[in-house]
Amino acid sequence: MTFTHEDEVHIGEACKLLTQIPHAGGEALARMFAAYPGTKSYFLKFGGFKASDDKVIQHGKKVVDALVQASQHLHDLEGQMHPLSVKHATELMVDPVNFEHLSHCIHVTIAAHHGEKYTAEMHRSLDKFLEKVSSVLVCLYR
Amino acid sequence: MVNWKTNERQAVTSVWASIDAAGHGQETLERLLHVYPWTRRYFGKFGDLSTFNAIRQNPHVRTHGAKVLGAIAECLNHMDNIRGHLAQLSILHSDTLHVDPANFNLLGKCLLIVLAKSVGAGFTPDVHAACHKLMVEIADGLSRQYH
Repeated sequence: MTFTHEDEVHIGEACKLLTQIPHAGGEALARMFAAYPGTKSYFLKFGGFKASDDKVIQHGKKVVDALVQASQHLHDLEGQMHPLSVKHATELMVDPVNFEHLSHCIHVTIAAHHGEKYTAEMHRSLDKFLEKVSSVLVCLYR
Repeated sequence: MVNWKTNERQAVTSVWASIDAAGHGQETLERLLHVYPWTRRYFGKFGDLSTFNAIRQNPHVRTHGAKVLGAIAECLNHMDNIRGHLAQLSILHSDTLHVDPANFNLLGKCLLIVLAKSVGAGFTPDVHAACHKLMVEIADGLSRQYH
């Protein structure tokens, strides 16, 4: 998968919208926990799974920060994300299907806060990016 | 049979009250065809869908989008038996249209994003989850008669 110049622009715009949403990562996680309750199984120590819960907010920030960083290295995602790939393969072992669930909830979060700005072009490029990030995170699984 | 909690029924009914079948249907289909371009394989009769502009200007996209959202809205009158209600449509998608059921999930995802855009802050995680549940039930109902 390669990113075009248009993709780069749209991914940058989408990440900017994401960072403008307070606790966007926490909200995306909360959406995922509500719509896909099986995903809570990876976060039993959280205690609560609402967007207002501290651990959900903290972890959400980690996720968004990592995505924004990754978005600045579109042409070497495997390299830039290697430590996270190792962590997911050896320690976290999240079933790959769940990255798709979280990706969808990220789209919904942006749409709910910045609907008018979230064009189909941005949606498509961000979806490409999140798909690539997901595949990099599981690339060392086997 | 799916069990709907009272708050889930209320959430879905409330969101659907604000739906514009033509406008939201068009946008849902536009996103499906643009974000997941392999879905265009089912719409050869629509003509040019090769670019986003072509999709936006294609009148069949608006017409078909309205049809799809109309059919989804009708499911709300059969929430306790969506599978039974969709049996004939499922046979149509399986035997005549030959649509891969994976596409029902893709359309559901696009519709949820359009709903989020439309409802805004009111599209809370719980409301989102209720609408997601409806999409899952509809996708399940539409794939039930495949053989």
